[in-house]
Parts: sequence; structure tokens; C-alpha cells
Amino acid sequence: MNTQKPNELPSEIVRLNAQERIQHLLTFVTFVLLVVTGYMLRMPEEWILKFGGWGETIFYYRGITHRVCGVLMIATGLYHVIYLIACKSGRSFMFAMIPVWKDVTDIFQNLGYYLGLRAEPPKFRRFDYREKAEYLALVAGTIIISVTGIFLWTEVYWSKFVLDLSILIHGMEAILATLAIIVWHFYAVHWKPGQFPMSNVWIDGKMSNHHLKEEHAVQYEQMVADGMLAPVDESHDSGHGHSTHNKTIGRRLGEMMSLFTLVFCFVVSVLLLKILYFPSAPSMLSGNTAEQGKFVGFVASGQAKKTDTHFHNTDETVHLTIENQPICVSCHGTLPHSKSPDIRSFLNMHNYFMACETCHVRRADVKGEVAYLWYDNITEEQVQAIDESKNGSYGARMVPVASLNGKERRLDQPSNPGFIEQYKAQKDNLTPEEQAEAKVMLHKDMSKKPIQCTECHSREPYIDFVTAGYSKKRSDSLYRTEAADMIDRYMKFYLPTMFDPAMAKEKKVKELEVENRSTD
Amino acid sequence: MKKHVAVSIITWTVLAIFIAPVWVIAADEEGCAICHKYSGLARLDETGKVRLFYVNNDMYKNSVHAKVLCRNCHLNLDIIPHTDAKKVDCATKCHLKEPSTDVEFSHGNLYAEVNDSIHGKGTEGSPKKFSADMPGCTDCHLNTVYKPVQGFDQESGISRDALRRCIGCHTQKEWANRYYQHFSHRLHRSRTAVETVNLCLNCHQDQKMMERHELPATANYRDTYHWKGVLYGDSNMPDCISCHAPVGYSVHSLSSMQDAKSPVYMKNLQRTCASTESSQDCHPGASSSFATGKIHQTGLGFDETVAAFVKGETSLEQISGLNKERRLRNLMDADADTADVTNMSEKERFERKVYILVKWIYTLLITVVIGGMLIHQLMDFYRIVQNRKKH
Repeated sequence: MNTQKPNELPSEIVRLNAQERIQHLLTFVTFVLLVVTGYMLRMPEEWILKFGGWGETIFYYRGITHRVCGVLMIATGLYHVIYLIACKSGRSFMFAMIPVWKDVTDIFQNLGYYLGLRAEPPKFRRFDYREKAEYLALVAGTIIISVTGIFLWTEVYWSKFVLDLSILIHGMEAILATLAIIVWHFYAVHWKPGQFPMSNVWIDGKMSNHHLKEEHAVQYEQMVADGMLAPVDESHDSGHGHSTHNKTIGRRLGEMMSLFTLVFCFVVSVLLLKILYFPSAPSMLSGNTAEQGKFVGFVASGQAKKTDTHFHNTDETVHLTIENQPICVSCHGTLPHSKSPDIRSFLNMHNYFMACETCHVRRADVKGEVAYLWYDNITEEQVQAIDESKNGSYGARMVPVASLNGKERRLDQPSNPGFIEQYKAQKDNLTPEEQAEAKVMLHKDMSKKPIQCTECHSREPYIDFVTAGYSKKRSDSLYRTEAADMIDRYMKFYLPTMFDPAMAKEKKVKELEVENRSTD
Repeated sequence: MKKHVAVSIITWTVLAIFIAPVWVIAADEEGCAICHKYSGLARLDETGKVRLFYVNNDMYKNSVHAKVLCRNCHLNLDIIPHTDAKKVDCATKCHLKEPSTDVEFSHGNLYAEVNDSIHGKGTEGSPKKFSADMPGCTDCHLNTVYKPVQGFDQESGISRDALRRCIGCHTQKEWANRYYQHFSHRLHRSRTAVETVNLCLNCHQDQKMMERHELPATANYRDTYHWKGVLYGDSNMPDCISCHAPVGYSVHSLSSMQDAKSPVYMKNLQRTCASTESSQDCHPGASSSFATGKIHQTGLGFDETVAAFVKGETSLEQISGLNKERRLRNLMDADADTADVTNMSEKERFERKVYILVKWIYTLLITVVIGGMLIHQLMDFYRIVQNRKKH
């Protein structure tokens, strides 16, 4: 081709001139940006929340970009109109684009060719019916979407009805345009065999005589007859083989990208169809409470505070997290104590740092030596020291461990797990009597009488807290201020004199010291 | 959430380093924390609801009520266990003196305001219907932790830069901190717009509750540009309060939209949309025609319109979506002439009809056009592949 002599006819034509290519590029860029920034309003709400702190900035630039591109797109349209009228090439473009009766017959003939009813496709002119339809749809769509867009931009001058309608049409037209571009345009210039991975016309504007003959036979014959184009050399190349001998890396890359766009556009189409046929917002009146619940839940999980239900701000520590939930919890929950109204909350509070068995299994009922050890709530590994300043939320819990003949057994692991699982599965099929019987079996590891408050909160506690890992100070406080007095005499007690007078005095002295006042 | 936790950890660390040492000592002079510092201090009540008695002391000390003792709100805590405790009443007079009047402080005036509003429970003699549904103070308010204004990051606590101008003269550091926080905290909302929407929708989207009160459940806010902006976190976007209690109105005295006092009353809408007094830039030039129609429209969802057409419900009276609207209007004001959808003004009916028609036509258009295109292209592809096989 490069060896072509000056007097020889060219083997390719300029299908899109520079002006047309600029117009295409402007339309392409603004269209893509408008689609992206527009559908950012219709994205699933969960995605929007993912922007987090960036959301506001993103939303700001989204709005700006959408408006700038909208103006640019309208400007491109005006530029195109001027081009059509003022330039010679523009006028020829316009006349070639006007639909004629031949286009109607072409449609039927071409469909006949697809169905195998005709051997050859019809001979097309410079623009075939597909291109004309797309062009006219683009013109109509640009006008519709621009007008509604301007209404929405100047919202204060229009009635709610006009705006409602504009939002509807703007969105619907956008769905139509995006899907049309994907199905109609991208197929024709991108994915269609022969064009794959991409037609280069929009970049260099050129079309080979092979291609022209195949797709626009009337124009081809006209140009060859006028002596403006070299005829296709039939003996040399059938027109299909030329892509096989130059599979460069660039081309392979292009093919990969083209395939990627195919998949991407498919996903986009599915999302658009969902917006069209199954709008995400469930109608609040349709009574779909599950959906509503999800919505409220989602809003709550997003940015709303988890503490919304409690006047005094709480924190994460109120949710007791144990990775491997003890089997007791599966039936009794994390707040199991309810029988004694006076102390049930106190008892529940102990769940946050003790295994049930610490109180519910007496050492006398267990064979072997029992030690009290701390295990991490997440890893279940033994913890050597707890942070006493954390008020019971140590992230670990105290578990009694029996050792017999050198073998250690954690008492919070039931000796009959199989039976418990079996019971849980069949519970509903059992009669109350059978259930009662089974429950005796279920709790066979438990001692009849759990360890009472005063057994631990006493001068000589049931559990040696220092050995168990508490500091001496903390261990002492367990029978002094915090609990013992209260347990002893909790029936009637006046605040704030319930505390150990010695401790209260000590505290007061400290306060005075800090404030640099006399401690006498 | 993770971010939230991280921010609060940073906040508390900062507070702990700079402020806490002074406050820790002053706190818990009643000794309540001895028990209430345990996060597991809780039980289930008869209905299975968690009753939590844990108070995070650090947070309390940095909350708006920090200087109020437990017993000032929780009256009658004389016995352990607290079997005789009274339910907290926010209208109680505190021992604190309100500095401008030197009178004992109380939320009583707001309490009365709410009671006079649409959210009021009514008087003891003649309570409103379903008064238990009406919000109490704590349904909307938390013991807010101070989030004073500081530059861009409003969560990071005290602006040391601003505070240093105070502590030169006001040498009582704790007092200066607290005073600074007391007012700077109120320069912004403590809830995000999403949180506010969530809060209102807790009740207003509860269909059963709304029907009890002869109200439509809030619909279509989620479809609005307003909500999208709120979701993105745009501080200029309106949540419920922005329109229902804008500047000049109190959220504590909300009234029915049929009440001339309401900012969303027809005649007040233009001013509300323009919202010239607010720091938010809303629709400053709102024309009178702009401020018409209903934001929370019902019966315009896809299923209610397009599906109706598909089912052949062509006349306005048949469309189930509009029937719902009619039913709701009946609920809202049975006597008014707008009660029945068939009594909608000619214009309103026409507008509805046009909207529904356009929606239907467009859906059909897209289906036919895109469907047709798809079939065309598949045929094209099939033909090309067939031809290649032959070669």
C-alpha cells in the first residue's frame, strides 16, 4: 500500500473528516461522563454509603461534572448543526443521512438475508438504515434530555408536575440511550466480527475499499465508477484473512480490552434493566415489611449510632463477643439470669467475665484438682494477665479447669455434647415430660446448688482470686466495697453511705490531696 | 462503623490526655459507677427487651449532662436494688441554676411545647388516641457526647486553638473546657442527616402505626434527589428537619401540614423551599408554582402504575395505586373535598394521568426498541458466523 504510485487511485476513503471526528469525540466523552455521573444517583444505596467521608466531595464534583458535560454536549450539538449548514461536507453528511424509502426496503431485505431467505445483503449507500436510525435517535434523545435537564437545572421556575415529569423522562431517556449505545452502537463498531476489537474510523477516519464494498456497496460502486477509489483486488485477498497475519501485542491487548468492555457493558445493562423494571425503592404502601425492615436496618448499620436506643451512650463492650459460643448460651442467651429480681442484673454482669461453670460447678462435684484460668474470648488461648481497669470487659473469661492424672479438662466443655445437640434438634417433638427428663440429663455436669454470692465475696473466698490472676488490691476489694456489704444487707441501703467507710475516707483524702487542700 | 469507632477512640484518647485528669476526680461522687461501670449489668424484661444499666463513665463525663448527678434525674434511688426508682422526667427541675435567670434549670418548657405539638400525648384527663406511640424525650434525644466545632473535623473534640483565647483569663481549666463545649457543641447538629432521617422513619415508616394515626407512611423520600444527597453526606441536602422545622420553627412544636403554623402548609411552602434564612443553600428563587404539589407522593411507583396498565386498569378509578392514595386521603381528612381521588381537581387528575402515561409509554418504548435491537444484532452475529463457516 505504501508503494502506491502517485497516479494510482487510493485504496481507502475518508469516512469521517476531522470535524466529524472531533464531534464524535466530544459526544463520546460527554456521554460517558454524563452516564456515570447521572447513574451515581441511582446506584444501590449500600454503594453510596461506602464512600463514607468522601461522599460529600464526590457528590459535589458529580453535580459539577454532570452540568459541565451537559452544557458541553449541548454545545457539541449546536456545533454540529452549524457544521451541517455551513460546511459543504456537513451538507453532504446531512443529505446522506435523510431517511429514504430505500431504507425501509433495506430493512426487510437485510432481515431476509439474516434469515437465509436472500443470498446477499442489500447494497447500502453511504449511511445504512442502522446508522440513520441511530443518528436520528441521537438527535431526538439529545433534544429530549437537554430540555428536561434544563428544566431540572432551573427548578425554581417550574411546577412540581413539570419537574416530576422531567425527572422521569430524563431518567428514562438515559436508560434508553445507554442501552441503545451498548446494544446497537458498541456491537456495530466494537464487538461485531470483522470490527472486533474496535473500528478505527473514529480515530483516523479511514475506511478501506474492502470494508466499504462490504458495508456500503452503492457508495463503493459509485466512487469506483467516478474514478475516485481503487477497486478491490479480488484475486489478492478475500477481505477476511488480513487480520490473521498481524496479531501484534497491541491487537491482543485491544481484544482483551474489548472483551472486558463487553462484560462490563453486560453488567451495566443488567443494572439498568433492574432500575427500569424493578426500581430499588420498595413502595412504602405495598406493605412489604421485610423490605422496609431491611431498609431501616441498613440505615441503622450505615451511619446511625448503634447506641441510639439507649439514652446513656454505650459502647462496644455491651455486646459480649465470644467466638465459639459456649453451649449454654445457645439456649440461655447472654443474659440468662431472670429468677431473682433483686440480683439478676448483678448475676448477668458476671457472664461478661466468667464461664457459667465457674459458679454452676462446685469443685466437690468434679474429680481432680480444679484451677481457675482465663481464656481469650476470640482465640480461646490462655491469658496470663487481665487488665483490671477494664471493668470486667477483659476480652477473656474465667473458666474452671480440672486436672486429673495429668490430664486437663475445661469444665465449660460439656461431657455430653452429642446429647445436647440431639436434644436441640428434636426438642419440638418431645412431650413436656420427656423434655423435663432430658433437661436433667443435659445439666448433669452442673452442681445442684450454684456457688452463692457471699461464698466468693467474702474474706475467705471460694475462689482464690490472687491465684486466679487478680491483683491483691482487686481481690480484697471484692469482699470490701464493691459487693460484700451490699450482698450482706442489700435489702435497705441508702446511697451513698453504702460503701466501706474506710475506703470512702481514703478516696476523699486523695481528692483533697490532688486539689492541694488540707487533709486534716 | 469502624471509622466511627476509630474516631471515638482518637477522641477519647485526646480527651483523656488533655482533659480527663481534672474530671476523673470530680466524677462519680455518688459511687454509682461501682456497679454501673460493668457493661454486663443488664437483664431481659418480660417482653424480651434488654434493660441495660451500664453507664460508660468516660462518655458521661463528656456529655451535656456531665455536671448533673445521677440522683438529680433518677429520683428516689434510696434502695438497692432500686425497686422504688421513678421513671426519669425531663421536666424535673434540676438543682442547677440557669445562669441567665438564676432559676432552677428544667426542660419543662420544651416538654410543654412538645405536648402542644402534633407529637403531644394530650393531657392526663383527655389523652390523645394511641398516646403511647407519641415520642418521649429519649425517643429522639441521647445524652449527647460533646462534639464541639473544630475546623473541618468536628469530631475531634476541643479546638485547642480557640480555647487558648479563653484560658488566659478563665484560669479554671475545667470550667473553661466545659463552657467552651457547652456552646460550641450547639453550633452544629449532633446527628448526621442520615441519622435524623432514620430517627423519624423509625415511626413514620411504620405502616401500622401510621395507619392508627390516620397518616400515610412516609413514601418516596428515598426516590428524591434530596435523599440521594443526604446519603452522599452533602451537608446542603435537606433531611426531615430542614423542611419540617426550618429556621424560625421548632422541632418541638411540629404541627399538621393542614395547620397554617406548619412550614409545609401550602401557603408557607414557597418560603420553606426558598429557605433564605438557613445556612443551607436551598431554592432561593423558588417561584410560587415550584412550591406546589407533594414531595411525599404516593401511588406513583412502577408496580402501581405500569402494572395497572398491563392489567388493563385504564381508567383512573381502577388503578390500584391511586386507590391507595384515595384510601389514604380518606383516612387523612374524611370531610375535605380532596378526600376522594375522584374529587381531585381537574388539573391534578390530568397531571397524574400524563405522568402515568409517560412512564408507561417509555417503559414500553425501551422494551420494544432495545429488545428489537438485540434481536437484530443477534441475527447479524448469527449470519456472520454462518458465512465464516462456509468460507
